[in-house]
This record gives sequence, structure tokens and C-alpha cells, in this order.
Amino acid sequence: MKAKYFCVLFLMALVLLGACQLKRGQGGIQQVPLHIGQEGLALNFLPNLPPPKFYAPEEGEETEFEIGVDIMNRGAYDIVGGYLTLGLESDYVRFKQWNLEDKPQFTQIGVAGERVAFNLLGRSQLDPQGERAVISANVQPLSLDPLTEQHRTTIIVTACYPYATEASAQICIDTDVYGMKPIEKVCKPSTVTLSGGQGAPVAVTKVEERILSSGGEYIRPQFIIFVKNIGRGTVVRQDKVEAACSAQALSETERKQFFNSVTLDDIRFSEFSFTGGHFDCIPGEVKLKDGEGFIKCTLHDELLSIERETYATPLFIRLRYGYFQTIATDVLLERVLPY
Amino acid sequence: MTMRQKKGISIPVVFVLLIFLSSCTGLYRGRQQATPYTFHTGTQGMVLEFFPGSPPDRLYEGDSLTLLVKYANKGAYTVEGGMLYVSGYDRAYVPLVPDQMPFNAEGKSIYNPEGLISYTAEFSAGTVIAPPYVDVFPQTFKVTACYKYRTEAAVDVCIDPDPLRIQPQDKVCVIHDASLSSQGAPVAVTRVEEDAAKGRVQFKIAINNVGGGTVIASSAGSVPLDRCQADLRQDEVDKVEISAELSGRFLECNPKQVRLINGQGIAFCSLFLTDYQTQDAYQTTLNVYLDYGYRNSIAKRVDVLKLPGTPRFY
Repeated sequence: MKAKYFCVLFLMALVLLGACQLKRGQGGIQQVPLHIGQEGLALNFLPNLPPPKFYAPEEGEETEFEIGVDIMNRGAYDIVGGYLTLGLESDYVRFKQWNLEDKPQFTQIGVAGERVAFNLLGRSQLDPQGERAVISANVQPLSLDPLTEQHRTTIIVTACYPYATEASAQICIDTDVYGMKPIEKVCKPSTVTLSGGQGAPVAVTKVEERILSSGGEYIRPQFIIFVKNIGRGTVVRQDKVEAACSAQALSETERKQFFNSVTLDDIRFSEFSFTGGHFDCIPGEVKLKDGEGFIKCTLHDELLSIERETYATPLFIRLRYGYFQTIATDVLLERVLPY
Repeated sequence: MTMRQKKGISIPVVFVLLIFLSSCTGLYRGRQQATPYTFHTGTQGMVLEFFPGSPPDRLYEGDSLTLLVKYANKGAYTVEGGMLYVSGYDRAYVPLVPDQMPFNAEGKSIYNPEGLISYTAEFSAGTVIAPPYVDVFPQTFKVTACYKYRTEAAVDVCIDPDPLRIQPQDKVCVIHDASLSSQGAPVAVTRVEEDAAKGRVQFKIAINNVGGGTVIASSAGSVPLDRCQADLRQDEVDKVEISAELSGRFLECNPKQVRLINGQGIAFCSLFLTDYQTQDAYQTTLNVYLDYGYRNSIAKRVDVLKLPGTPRFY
């Protein structure tokens, strides 16, 4: 009886296995898209550091509290030579020191100053989240005026860092500008809209492509690149990053000159590049107005022959700039009442 | 062995037998008549296909790339001196060698009645580079076949040298129009309308591009295959050379080169019958020949990826 059942089961299993097609899984390491997102550096206070309320010391007493900052490079570009500055109301809170032990990402600037330099790696396939670091500073609240029972003071942390946006857009190099040739083209020049950011606070939002004819033998692709500040901070010219985080306030003229300024570092496709001298780009330095601006780049003449077949390829754009952003929190300093 | 045991064993045995029997194609195969093959059917010329995985859907930078193309001549005309081209990709990063090659392909025949003979063309790139500034580098590879082709259509027609004779007579046939299906080529003769006068017969021949590709002009039998992939002029497409033959005599066709508009065109072919002695209507075959070039293509997208940990480009 048992043998009969086993026999039937075995045969059924054979039939089922023969009918089944064992699916082969797709397998492979899934690539994490890196050049997406609207953030560069994420800057946050650690919970309760500083505390929302603190008792101010009496005259002659010394107390401290800690300010903790969590920074994370959520963008796709490595930060090298960023600055972190602590802003305190000097009449009420005095800076003591940064706690830099076992913090390889940070370097003290000056002699026990309120600024540190930092480096932080961006997102990569090996670290899709981006490098994160925590740093704290000890500060001393000062005693309050005898007639003051409490004072709300603001703690400000400013991060200033050089950054870059690397965007790529699929473009079409159509060597048959006027559609004279009866050929099936693999693509057609069009406007490419880029959404979601490129893993940086300044994004390329749109690339308009035009193919200009040049005397019949060559074509001159032209790209209009639209740029926008989509982060929460302020753009500054890349060589003014340190100045933006320095103790010296920038004048109005300097602000106008250096703020909201983005530099086109490179644009390239196939074997042609801006750094190789193949493009005319106007302007080389974009001034963002209401956070937006554009650059027009045209390939030089006599570089791209019409005899080349139409093809699709990515256009790469790199913008360089500085960025600074601030976080602030209040601490209520209270006098200890003597009863 | 008990009755029950015997029953128990017989059930799986029957089951196995059923499986075997279901896979059989038939126990009895009667004597069948040989089916005559008609090669001049179908609307295809050259058919192209990528081998599965070649190219792959994605590959990594530094890998080699191979495009394996299977091509077969599904029409009735043998192709000689055709060209295969690969295009649509960025040559700065994909050094495909070669990017074009000539080919020949035998058409359907008594030895190849269904056009099953297929051939393989290989294009390869030793190392594929991706631009250092993109995470994914998509490329489309388009393979185009350009070749000379001929459509041979045979239509039964009735030739009545004196269609308006007064005395009624039993005629062997009457003049009629004919609709045709495909002829084993991507350009087909779809309709033949006949008109006759005393000593003269005329045919209106309708032509249609049924293959889905592009017709390239043939001029005196010559087709610009070397330019067909990317450098044709507008006046070099959608034109077909026509000739027609009846009872060993070539008809006068007008135009000799038919222009296709929206894939369709017509020509008029005439023959004078004044030197024919017979006065009776007779049935014969009109052979229509269309000479042209043809172009069709396939395309596939391949994503070139970077391995994690690849150094960045700064």
C-alpha cells in the first residue's frame, strides 16, 4: 500500500518537474543611483544637545553644556575643505572647545577657535548613504544679569563647503539637421527635463538641445543648461567658501559679487569637452536670480561632421560652487531662584 | 498478489503509459501526398534578429561586447552583395569592429522552401568604456541590412487580340482583373487590371511596400548600397524599377521607375499585338519583375554600468 502511494507520488513529481520551467533569477548586484536627491550636507543638532533649557551659573561658578552636531554628506560629491562654525551670543555663552578626539574628519582651525575644517565623503556604491560624522563642542553659559531671570539665547551652526553638481542627460547628436536624409534615426534632439536633483543642492533642471548647421559640412550642437538652487542654503562662489564661514562679515558689495554664483566646470559629450576647448559657454559663471539661471554652450565649428551617423550619448555637466547653510536652536538660560 | 495489490500497481502503470502516449505524435502515419512548395509567398525579404544575450541587456565597463546577428532570407530572391551596418552608438566609447560587413543570403528554393537557412554576423568591441561621469551609460545598437532585391510576380491573364469583335464566339477566357497576395518579397504586386483594344493590351499594375522597411531606388539595376545606411538622398528612396514580360516579349512600361507614395505606386505596361497571327483569345502568364533595394533594421539598448568602487572622475 505504502509502495503504491510512493510510486504515484514519485510519478506525479516527475510530471510536475518536467512541466515546470525553473526560472533563473536575474541576479547581479543592483546599482544604487547616486546622482539623485536635492541635498548636499545634512546638518542637524543632536537630540538635547544643546538642551532646550539650562540654568545659568551664579557669579563665580562655571558650568558647561554640550552642543552636538550631526553632519552627513547626502550628496554625490566628496566634501574636501568644508568649514563648521559655531555662532554664539558672546554676552551669554562662551565657546570652550571642540571635542575632536577620534574625529578624523575634523581639523581644528586656529587656536581653539570656533571653526573646524572637515572632510566628508559623499554617496558611492560602497556607501550609498554618504559619510556621517558627529562632533560636539563644549560651551559655557555666563551668569545672568541680576535683574534678569531668564534669557533665550540662539545657538547657530553654519556649515560652508565646496561642492559640485554632476549631471548627465541623454542627448541626440543628429547630423541630419533638416531631415533631408531618408534614414531611420535612433533618436531625435529634444529638451531633457531632469527632476529629483543630482545629489547636490544645486541642480540642473533642464537641458535644451539645438543642432545648428554650419555651412553644410558640419553641425554645431548647442545646449542651454538651466540651473537652480534646490537646497535650503545659499550658493557662494567656490573660492569664497572660507570667507562665508569666517568671523568677518561680508560687505554688501561682496555679497552681491560672491553670492549666488555658480561656475561651469565642464561640459562634455563623446570626445568633446569644455576643458578641452571645444565649447563656447556663456556665461562661464552663472549668477542665480531667485535661485535660477542658465548657461548656453555651443560646440565649436568644424568639429562634428555631418557624415557621422546620428547617435545618442550622454551629455555631462559639472558645476562648481560653494554652499553654506545654517541651523539654529534656542536655549533658555534661567537663573536659579534662591528659594 | 491480491486483487487489491494488482489494482494498486496497475494505476501508476496506466499513468506512466498515458504520459508516454501523450508525447507521441501519432501511431499511424498514412501515406501522404508530397505538398508542392510555393516559394513566391510571404512579405519578407531579409529578417534580422539578435541572438539572445548578444548583446546583453547590460554589461560592465571594461567588458567586451559582442553583437551576434542572425539573418535569414525569407523571400524568394537570393541576395548577393548586401551590407550589414551597425550604428546609433557613440564610437568614442564603443570601438566596434567591424561596424559593417557584406553578406549573401540564399532565398527560398526547392532546397530551402521555408527560408530556414540562417547566417550569423558578429560585431565586437574588445573593451567598452563608459564616460567617467555617468552612472549608467545607455547605448542603442542598430543593425541595418541593405540589399538588392527582386519581386517576381506571375499572373494568369487573358489575351484577347480582338475584344470587340461582332460575331459572338466561345472564348477560351475573358479579360479580367486580378488581385494578388504576396510574392516572397517585401515589395509586392497587389493588383493587375487589364484593358484591351484591337491588337493592343495594357495592364495597370499596382505595387505596394509590404515589408515594413524602406525601398531604395534601383537605377539600371544599380542600388546605392554603400550609402544606404546614412547618406541617401530623398530622391533615392521609394522607387522601384518595373519590367513585365508576356509570352517571351517584354512590355513597354511607363513609368519604368515607379515612385511609391505612402508605400504604393502604379505603372502601366502595354504590348502591341498587331504582329500576332492568331485572332483567338488565349490564356497566358504575365510575369512582372520589380527591381529595387531594400533596407530594414533592428535595434537593441544596452546599459553599460560601472562596478561599485570604481574611482570617481574629478
